[in-house]
Amino acid sequence: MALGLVALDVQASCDCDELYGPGQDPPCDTMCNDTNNGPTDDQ
Amino acid sequence: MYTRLSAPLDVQWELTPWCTYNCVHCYNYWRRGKRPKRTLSAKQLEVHNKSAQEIINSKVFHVTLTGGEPLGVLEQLMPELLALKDAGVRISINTNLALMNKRMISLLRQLGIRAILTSLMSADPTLNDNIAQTKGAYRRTVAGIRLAIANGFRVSVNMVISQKNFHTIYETGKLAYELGAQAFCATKVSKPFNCKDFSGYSLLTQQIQQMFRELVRLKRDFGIQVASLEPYPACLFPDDETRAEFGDRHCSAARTSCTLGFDGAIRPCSHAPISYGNAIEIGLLGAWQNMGMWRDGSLIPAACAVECREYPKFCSAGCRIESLNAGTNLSGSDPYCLGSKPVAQRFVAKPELFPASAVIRLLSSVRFRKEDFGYIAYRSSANWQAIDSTLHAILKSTLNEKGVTAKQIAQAYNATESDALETMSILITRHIVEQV
Repeated sequence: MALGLVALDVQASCDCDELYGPGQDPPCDTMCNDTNNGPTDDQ
Repeated sequence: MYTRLSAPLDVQWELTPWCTYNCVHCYNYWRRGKRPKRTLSAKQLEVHNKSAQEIINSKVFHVTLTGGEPLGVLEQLMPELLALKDAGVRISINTNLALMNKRMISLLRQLGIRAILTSLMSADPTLNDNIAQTKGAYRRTVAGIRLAIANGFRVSVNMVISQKNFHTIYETGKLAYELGAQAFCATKVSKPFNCKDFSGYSLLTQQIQQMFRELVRLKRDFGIQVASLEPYPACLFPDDETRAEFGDRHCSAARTSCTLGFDGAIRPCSHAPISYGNAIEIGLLGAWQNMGMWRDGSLIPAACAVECREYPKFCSAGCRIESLNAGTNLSGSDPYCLGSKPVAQRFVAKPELFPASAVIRLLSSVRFRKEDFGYIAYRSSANWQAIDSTLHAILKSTLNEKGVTAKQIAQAYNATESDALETMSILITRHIVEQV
């Protein structure tokens, strides 16, 4: 179990136990993406 | 346990209802009354000044400027926007780029803006201009995209998909790639709240599924990043590939973000016609508190909340405003929810673990906000993490030291190195830390 991370129900898709793993393209960048923000906002 | 953030992480700020175009699918279009003026009045400026202060005082991390067309009032609002920047609020912008010129480039640079989300309706100029109801719209937006990219901005092109332009998705994505856009987004049209008959625009379920496939095809053919900027029900995805690409977008309305209107009204999202308070009257935090029903699960239809195991972790039950606009209410089913177990599987894997000798260090671009439970470590709307005070102290210490190892983290918690390595892996995945 990861240490120091707080699970929030407002971040439901970002459960710490289950993450998209490597091999996805992009692996985790789109995880927890919120609506209305462009995909290049965080580069 | 229900946990509330003290304030939104991100705010969509509608600077103006005025726009260069008059797109048939835009919720502004369906509003009645006179076309708004471009120049902001003294009273409007007062509202914007107060709104900026509310954003700063609420410790919001990121603001997306939108409208209307925000470039139309950018010059007038520079004092307020520079105040945001000086307070550490990161800014991005949604603009059709029709007004992009050297002066705008200078203003955007002054605000530290590097990412632009623009809107293009079709690669077919005539069709594009018909949807925009403005002759020359295609020419102006394409010129704006070229100018923005030539001046170093990261541009994502979003295409709102309706019955009118559905058949031009692939060609429009190809155009976005050829123009040099970093990403192409195709997003289904949403019925405006005050439009009685939207049947000529709304997509069929099969068309949305085809839209996903077209995006995947564009990614394969050109290598361009693709996305769709709405939260779709998990059961809507026709296959694993489209779900893996577009199924991670969850509704952030009143959970992590909200919309601040040009009149100071604060709404859960830009599509929502409901205000929960005004920046001038009860302020951003007051309105944020009033939106509790949006994040406590009470608006989620029983078919999703009780009967479907995808909610809440892997599906946010679609869009509440789609439900409202479909003629039911906020807690009805999203009209694109198929009401069945998703056929598409969600790929789940444990994050890659690092060797015990790995050392991590906090990225300097990460900012923190104190919360009841500890802190929010924020990199972007897509990459943030809630952490406790112990981990916050550890991460902050790495700015002045060489970094921290799993052993040191484990010691702080009297736990195993294996657990600490998992923490490190997740923080790297979220771009909160880097491996030294």
